[in-house]
Amino acid sequence: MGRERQRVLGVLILIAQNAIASCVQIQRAKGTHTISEAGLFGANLLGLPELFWLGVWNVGRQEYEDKAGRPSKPPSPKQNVRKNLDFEPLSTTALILEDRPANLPAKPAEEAQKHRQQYEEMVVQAKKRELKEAQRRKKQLEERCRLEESIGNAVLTWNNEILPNWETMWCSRKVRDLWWQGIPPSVRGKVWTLAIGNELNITHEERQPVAIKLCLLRDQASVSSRRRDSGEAWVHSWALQLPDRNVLTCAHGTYPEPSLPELFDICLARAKERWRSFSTGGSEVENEDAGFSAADREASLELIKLDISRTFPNLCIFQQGGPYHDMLHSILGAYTCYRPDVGYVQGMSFIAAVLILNLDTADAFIAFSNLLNKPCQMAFFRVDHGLMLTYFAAFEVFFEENLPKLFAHFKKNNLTPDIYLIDWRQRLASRK
Amino acid sequence: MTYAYLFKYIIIGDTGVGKSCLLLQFTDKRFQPVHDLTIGVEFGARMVNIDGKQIKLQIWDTAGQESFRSITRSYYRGAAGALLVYDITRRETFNHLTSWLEDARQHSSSNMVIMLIGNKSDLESRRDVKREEGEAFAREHGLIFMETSAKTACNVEEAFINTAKEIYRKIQQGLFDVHNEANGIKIGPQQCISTSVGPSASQRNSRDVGSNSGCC
Repeated sequence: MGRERQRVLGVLILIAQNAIASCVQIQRAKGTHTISEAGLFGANLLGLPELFWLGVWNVGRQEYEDKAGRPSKPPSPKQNVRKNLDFEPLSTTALILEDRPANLPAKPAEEAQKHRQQYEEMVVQAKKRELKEAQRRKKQLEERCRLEESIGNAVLTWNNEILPNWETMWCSRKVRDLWWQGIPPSVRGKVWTLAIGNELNITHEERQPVAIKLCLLRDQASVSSRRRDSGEAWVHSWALQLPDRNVLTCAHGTYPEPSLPELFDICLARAKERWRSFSTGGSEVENEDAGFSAADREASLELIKLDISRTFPNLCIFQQGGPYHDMLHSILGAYTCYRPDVGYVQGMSFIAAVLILNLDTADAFIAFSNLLNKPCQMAFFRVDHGLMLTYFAAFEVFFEENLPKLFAHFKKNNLTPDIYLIDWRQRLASRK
Repeated sequence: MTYAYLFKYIIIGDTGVGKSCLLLQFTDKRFQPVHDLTIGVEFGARMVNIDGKQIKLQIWDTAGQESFRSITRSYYRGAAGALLVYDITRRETFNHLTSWLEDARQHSSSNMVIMLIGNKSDLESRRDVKREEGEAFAREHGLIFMETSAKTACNVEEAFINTAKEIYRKIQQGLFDVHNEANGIKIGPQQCISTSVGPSASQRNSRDVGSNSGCC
């Protein structure tokens, strides 16, 4: 049953990927690939973001199941005890057959014989159970060893074979299969970084104004001479010198595009200044980013604060006072400065959180910005309703083609993609 | 589990006002102080008993962020009841009610029953919106009004059940066409409207709540 459900989910995920890919096709409107090609290379076109998340999902699930005990396995010994306590002791060491105390009349021979027999049966049962339990433990241990060994081997393969030859290997069958088994935690960050890529570092026409703006900022604050990881205190003091008002007035000339780690620092510093002016009620930064009102920004900042507390709350690491709280705050804040046109949208915090768990702050920001820049992610994060409907429609085409019965059932019950696909898409990436 | 009717509810309002917590309190009778944020839509369901009839409430809990409005609008379709929630400790969530109401009126059936809810009534010391203001807003726009606390469970049952009662009253008055699912009401499986439904096993899950308990 569980396996069946997993299979169906797997197929649905593939369909989603294909749908996404075909939408990329539709969007690019080049007409150079057919839809089936799009399906085949769906993940490739996306730089594999969906597939790579699945890698996490698989390993995550495995880890979880190992911890929680696989559902298909017999119940834990504890449960066994509780269930059988009335008539079956757990261990033979607890079984001692004693005669009645001397101050009571002795048992009749018949009764004593019966008790001895019962006692022997109990011992046999208990021994059997002990044996079974020992076998189960041994099997579990073996399985864990096997898993650890396979993870160890996978790490070697990733590090020695795949990562050095990423460009040629990433779309191979072997890599894909290995990916589906889950990326070992130690190489996850590297694989993600490569898979997402850093397209944004390439000069892009529509990105030029942002780049120029940020370059100006960098020049004026002479950040190029600073190291990117020089600490919180420095970023804070540097933020004080940022000349916000001049930014928009001199957007001319050619400047080299800043690299994203620097860009992260720049954006973070700007975000910090905003937070500060927001908390002190200052109006200094009122007129920047024409078109995005102060009220919007305020809402955005408030929202980030509110949502961080609701991001994987059970892990207790992203909440106020938790080890990753500031990192998550920084990345989301910096992103709203980097892309004020997108701003902060609910759901982003989960993606950033998953990235933070596997990458350092600047790399996580790069991965985050690039990932969100993929057409499908962008459509959903900008909540571009029209484009989302296109994705939904494409998904339905693939859904019907691959799982016609389930599709008919969904249709019959008016279960349309707008009801579940938004959440699924998010879940593929990160949630729960 | 049989039911006489199924009502579709939708919960709307700004982000962080406690929509999901209200739902969790109503369906599971528990409060989770740090709740995962809702993206898109999530669902809950519970049986209630109104006038001796088993009624299943199917509740759609929506994302509150402004960006998701265009999507939320498509969820109003076929809702019989709406809980419009604000946070009594954050005035801006009260100020946004008008725009939520506009959305609700525009995208739902005209008979949809709307319950205005001022949530977090347990945080009296941080109150930013007076109870009277909520009442006045509700009066002005023809809504039912209640202050609730998803944390203490105060008035949560009542909010959901009073909405159901109002919908049921409208059905009996013939205002709802129960055969048209666009109104957010479905007749239960193997039910015809004239059959009266006796108490069933699901009874233990439901309580017929009388007038306001007045704990808030």
